[in-house]
Amino acid sequence: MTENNNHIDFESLAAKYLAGSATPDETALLEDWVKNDEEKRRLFLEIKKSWMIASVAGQVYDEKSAWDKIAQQAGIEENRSNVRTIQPVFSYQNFWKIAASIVLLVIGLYSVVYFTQLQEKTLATGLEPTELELRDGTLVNINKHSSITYPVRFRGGERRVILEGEAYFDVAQDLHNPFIVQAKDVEIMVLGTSFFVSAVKDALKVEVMVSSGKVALITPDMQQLALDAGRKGAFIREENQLIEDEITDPNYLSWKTKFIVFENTRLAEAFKVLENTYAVSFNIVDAAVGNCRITATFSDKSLEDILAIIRETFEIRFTSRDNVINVYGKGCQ
Amino acid sequence: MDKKGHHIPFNQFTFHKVFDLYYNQLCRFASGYLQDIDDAQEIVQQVFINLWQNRETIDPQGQIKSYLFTSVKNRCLNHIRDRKKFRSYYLDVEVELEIPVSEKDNLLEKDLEKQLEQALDKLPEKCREIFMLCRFEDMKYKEVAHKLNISQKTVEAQMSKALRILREELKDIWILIIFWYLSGLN
Repeated sequence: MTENNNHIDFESLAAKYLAGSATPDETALLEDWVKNDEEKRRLFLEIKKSWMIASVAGQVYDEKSAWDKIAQQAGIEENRSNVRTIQPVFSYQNFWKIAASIVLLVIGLYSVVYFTQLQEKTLATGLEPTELELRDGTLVNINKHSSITYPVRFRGGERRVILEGEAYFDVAQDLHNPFIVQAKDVEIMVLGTSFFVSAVKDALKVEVMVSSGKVALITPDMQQLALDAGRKGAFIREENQLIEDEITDPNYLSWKTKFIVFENTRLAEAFKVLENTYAVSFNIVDAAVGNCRITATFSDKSLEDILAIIRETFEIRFTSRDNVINVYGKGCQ
Repeated sequence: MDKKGHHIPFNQFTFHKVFDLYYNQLCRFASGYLQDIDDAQEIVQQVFINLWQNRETIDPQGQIKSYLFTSVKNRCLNHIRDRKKFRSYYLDVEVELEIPVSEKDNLLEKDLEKQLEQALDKLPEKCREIFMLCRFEDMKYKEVAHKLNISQKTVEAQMSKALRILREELKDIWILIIFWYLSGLN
């Protein structure tokens, strides 16, 4: 037998083995070859890999019936909400019969009401934040330039809303129907509580800050992170990474609470907080003003009051036009 | 910043999510070991049922994927051993692929599928037919020979040829395959 022939025999034997058609003698021979010959071992591995990987091509698996089977055998009760599929069935054919038409009318009205309640609504904000109460009693404060999509009425199963931008949630407790905020591709599942979500359209991360209770972050590949009050979690998409940290920005809810804390904060930063809290933007004309530092606490003050205090403290001049406030002054080092 | 976790027990919601995410991938993975896709699905379903029944004891924090893939793999290997008389433990189990592990994989699946379809298309028609019968319909050489009215020697030669062509065609995408295929293990 030449070396070449031997080689071909080996490949053919390997294939035969993988296909379950090798005899015990052939299997023993193959095993012997693979064990004792490094070159053949490498070749066998390659053939085995080709054999295995062919399974990726072209096979379709029926997920629906697989799930039904699993749910049934594992004893899971199906309880998933289905928000969009119900259509009212309605007929005007039988008007000649008064009684029937009255019944139909009642059913028809009921369907219309029912159907309306199944629909989804979207609330989008512009320059001003707004507040929304969902049917389950959950309160949502939606920050400016954000939108939330929610069903008019939650049905059994999960309570799901979709958020783009920023919002603060105070979720009504209901242990049987988890509340889920879908923020881009991250899901935030609520275990009963209040929290803030930042999922701004082009931002690289989705952030969640928890003010009370407990919240879980779930990424597209099912990484999970549970967050307690006072903690924040972020999903950084680029790195597919979940990180947890303490909430360090005391003003993350100022747009909702109008409660602002500055502690040796640079004015440049302070103006950003004010922009986020009140629907204005600042234009610091004299850059040195941004260097000044402020320490103060404002509780539910109007923007005018706060600006008056800043003006007195730092000898600053404000001019305002079309929601843009220009800032002038000598400034600080 | 630190990355740390509490234990969140599985519930119906997260369980369904895990199913949606991994069922198909696991079936393909199981089919890699087995020759019958019904067996493959059966095994994957059983693993999900077990996962649900043991949900209290399993920490879902990042370990789910590895748990699923490892369970499916072990069950496949057991299945092969139980069912086939003439198997070699050494060839089936000990010679495992020495593979690096990646967490970023799902995106690659479509690419990989396309490349594999192309590779299979490179097989001559007869060769492909024989390969598909052996690979996915769990037919022995003898049965294939009988069905197609050819000699066993021909089946043998065609199978060897099929795997040689696939090996050649897949050479450039092994990295892709490795990322996708065994990303769940370890």
